[in-house]
Amino acid sequence: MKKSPSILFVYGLFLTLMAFLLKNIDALALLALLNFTIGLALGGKKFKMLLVAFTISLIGVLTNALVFAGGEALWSWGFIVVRKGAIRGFIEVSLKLTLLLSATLIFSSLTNPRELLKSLESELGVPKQLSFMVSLSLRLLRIFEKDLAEIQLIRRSRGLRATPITLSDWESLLTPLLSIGLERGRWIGIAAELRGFSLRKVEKKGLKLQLGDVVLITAMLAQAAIAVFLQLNPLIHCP
Amino acid sequence: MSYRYTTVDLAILAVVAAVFGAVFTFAWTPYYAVKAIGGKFAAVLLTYGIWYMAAPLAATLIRKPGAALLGETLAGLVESLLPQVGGFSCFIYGLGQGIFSEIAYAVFRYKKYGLLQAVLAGALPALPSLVLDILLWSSVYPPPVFAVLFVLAAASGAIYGALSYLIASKIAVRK
Repeated sequence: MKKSPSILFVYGLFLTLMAFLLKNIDALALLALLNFTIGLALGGKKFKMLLVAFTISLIGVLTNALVFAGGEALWSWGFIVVRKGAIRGFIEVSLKLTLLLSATLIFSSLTNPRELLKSLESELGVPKQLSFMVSLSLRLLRIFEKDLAEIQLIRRSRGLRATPITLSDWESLLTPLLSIGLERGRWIGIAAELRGFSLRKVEKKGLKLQLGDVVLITAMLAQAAIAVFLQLNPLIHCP
Repeated sequence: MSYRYTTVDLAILAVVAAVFGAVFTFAWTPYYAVKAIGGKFAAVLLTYGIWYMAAPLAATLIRKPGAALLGETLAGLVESLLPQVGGFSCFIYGLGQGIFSEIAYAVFRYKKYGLLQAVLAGALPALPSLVLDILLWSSVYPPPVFAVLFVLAAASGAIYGALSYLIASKIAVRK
């Protein structure tokens, strides 16, 4: 089933907005588990390191919940006190983070940024200037990774710490990186203009919905409706 | 002065977006390092401002309306297109932060791009950033904690906004 990258992007944004807006545990659980299952099936193997990073972030969520959340103390062991608020907080935030991760897994498994930019320009009529900037940024990322590695080598040889903590650390890292980058950017801009970037006309195809797009849009609307229903009529009543 | 964006301006914005898209992803390392040693408050004070740097830097370099908004939003979009745990939330954070950074320059009618404006452009994004944090994390952190975090994030943003201005002034002189 072919899916438009633009619709996939919109679906990812939809899941992200749901993560921000939903407070009801039932609605969060339904959306998170459904989309996480799909995301795992599509990209679980490819994005193993992402899942490891996600697990580590859940440990951070649990720590924050134990330290900051209030409520009645349910259990204690030494200095560790588990409060009611901590359990609810941990579950809610974990489900939200699961939704955010699901959006990434689904999007990154089914398309890539380059296809997305082409699709946004030709199907949704996003200005060519915006797609030029984003596609150039993504191409420059690889180059800047190498520049950054060289800068880090020089910084370490001068006795500076690898992980910048102070303002001076950040200044010594960013100034050379941006200086090199800006020089590149200026010449890329001049070259693009000499090749007629301003005069280029974008062929707008318009959005033609395929079966996959219809399935995605239907899934979005259905999940939104169920989430609103559960928000108003929760299954689990939490004080 | 012309407010029309040239292709060179677009390329410079792309460079800022690429550099900060990578820096934003990398900045989680010092954030967690400081958090492990000094706790949440220290981590916010010392590192949160990094995520607000793209806007004042872009605005100081380009000096046109919309540069702050575009710089921050594009950096957030680039960060969200790289597979990572935060996903598309980075784009939403970038957009919110970009809008509030832009206000710092709009208030001066886009006639001034000095240190004061950069400091404000670094401090103001703390508001949408904390509002979004509240939407995600409110069940873990009580309101008084968010009030303290807001002040610390604004202070951090102001400091890193000043740093953005100093870096932009240095590299603009070198051209």
